Amino acid sequence: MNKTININLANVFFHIDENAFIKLDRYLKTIESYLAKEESKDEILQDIEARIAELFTESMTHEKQVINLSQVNEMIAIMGEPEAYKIDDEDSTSTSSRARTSRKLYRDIENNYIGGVSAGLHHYLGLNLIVIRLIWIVSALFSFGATVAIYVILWAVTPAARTTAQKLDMQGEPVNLSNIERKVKESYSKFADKVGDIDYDKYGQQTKSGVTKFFDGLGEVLKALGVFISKFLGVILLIISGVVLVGSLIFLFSFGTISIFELGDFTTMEIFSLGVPYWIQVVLFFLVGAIPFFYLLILSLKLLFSNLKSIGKISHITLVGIWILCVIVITTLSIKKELEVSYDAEVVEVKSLALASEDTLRIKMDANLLFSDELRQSKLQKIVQDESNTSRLYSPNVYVNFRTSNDEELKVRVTKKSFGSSESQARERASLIDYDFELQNSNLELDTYLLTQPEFLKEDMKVEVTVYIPKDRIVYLDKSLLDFSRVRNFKRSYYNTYLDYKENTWKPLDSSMKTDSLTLQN
Amino acid sequence: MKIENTKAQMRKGVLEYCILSVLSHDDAYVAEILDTLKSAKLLVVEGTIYPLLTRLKNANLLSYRWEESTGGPPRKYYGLTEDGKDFLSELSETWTELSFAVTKITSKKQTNDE
Repeated sequence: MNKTININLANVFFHIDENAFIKLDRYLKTIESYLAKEESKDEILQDIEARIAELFTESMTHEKQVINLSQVNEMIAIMGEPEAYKIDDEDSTSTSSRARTSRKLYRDIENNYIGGVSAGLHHYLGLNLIVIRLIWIVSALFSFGATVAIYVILWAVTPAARTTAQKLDMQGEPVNLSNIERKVKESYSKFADKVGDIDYDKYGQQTKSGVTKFFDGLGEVLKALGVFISKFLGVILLIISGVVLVGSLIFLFSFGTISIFELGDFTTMEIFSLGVPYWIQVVLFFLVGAIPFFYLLILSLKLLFSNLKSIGKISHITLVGIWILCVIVITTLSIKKELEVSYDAEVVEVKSLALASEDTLRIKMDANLLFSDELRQSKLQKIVQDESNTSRLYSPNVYVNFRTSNDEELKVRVTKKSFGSSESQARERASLIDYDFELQNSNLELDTYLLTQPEFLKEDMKVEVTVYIPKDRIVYLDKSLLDFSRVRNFKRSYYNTYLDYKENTWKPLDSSMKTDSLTLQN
Repeated sequence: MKIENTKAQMRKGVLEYCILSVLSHDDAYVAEILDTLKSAKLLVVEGTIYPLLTRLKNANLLSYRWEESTGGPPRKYYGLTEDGKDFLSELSETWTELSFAVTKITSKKQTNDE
């Protein structure tokens, strides 16, 4: 079954098949474009239409017959291809300038499965329809459905081919590299011809037209180049924005869903936290990143396909609005987060230790092999498992200082420091810091690390240890203190030697004393 | 220089002369002119004639009148104007000269070749 269209050719009424009509319409339009420069174009066209009407009438066997494609083809065989209508010798070089309709991207809503995007691309790119659909499906599988979003965008911005003209445009001359190249060549040869045509006998008059023609030709070359560059740019932008969009969609779906279902340990994965549920953060960053690239994608599509429709004012306002909102939310959250760490508090514990009088006090740092295998202070905080298999935050932010005690007791003062959005919160957090030291005989062993709750990873907690040394004691500082000690005017060579500590200053014992004490010690 | 351009230029002049000649005997409508031209194989497809006729008419060499036809649309019957008759006689002279010159030159060339 075929749709028929009623037409009026030179005041004669015809029924014509739709496909025959499309061909006839195209034929007449092409002729019209060839005759564009003709003075009495309309009159000539009327004559032509009258002749076509006559030919159709002759070919009809009965009055109600419908004109079909074969009759149109016969008519064209008699009348000649559109080129035949052009007899103008001046224009004979401009064969190339006849109106070629460039192919345009439309959705083919007659051959659609979903939105007709694939069928439209099939017309536009000339690729096999099944191949295009397979590419969509396969890429959707590999990108976890992200290319589906690109399909939807194409669906939204590509107009459907509804009218005959649109259907013809959809199947028009392919826009490919060889065509663009040909266009450049044609316009170049045209301009070369025009320059070559200058009749030097009529120099004055024709130079002028030669010059204008030169610039006309140059203009066309530039135009073709412009088309080529914009298409090239379009392809590059399309690839960039496509990859970024697909990437950020994968990011959104993978990280977003993992955190919603709490499948991962996010205290270690977080790059920086805004203090909101992780999936909200993922969505915010996705929107802020994806919306500009979405516009880049639209831009590239517009460069590639000239006839795309706008996505609509409301969509624009919504998208830009969402983007601004997200930026505001992220800024606000970051500022809030900054303010959150602005209160600091400390918890102090002082412990007196029984030290047998006259003993040399030996002080060293003690690492826990369970957490770290080095005595040096690294800046690395990490999540560790303790003996009872609970997760703890391990931090090497331990600093050691020394003072002279005002009595005979050895005292250790531990200051635990933390930040928080309020002073009480900071204090509460500080009190959750675990720090240990031990006096065995006359050996004071200080932990190289502090332990606390894993969620304080970003809180920059630290412990300051002050050791109050009783008067007139000989002190031996182990070299393991090197990284942790904050003593001023302390020479490196003082480590691992016996020292006299008086009035907050260190003085090495003279060698005899040192030997003595060594003997004593041994 | 394209062969098509040269051919089209040659044919165009001859075609104008021939159309005027056909109309010199009697007024005719397009299909009749076409029949004559096609039977002589001067014209293969019809399209070319329409712009040509309109130009000749615009140049005041031709005039036309409408006549009803049986079954089809009304027809344009073309005829020569006084200007057209003068134009045709001038063209006839030129053609005679030209065809003499062309025949002489081309045949001479052939003998030279041999």
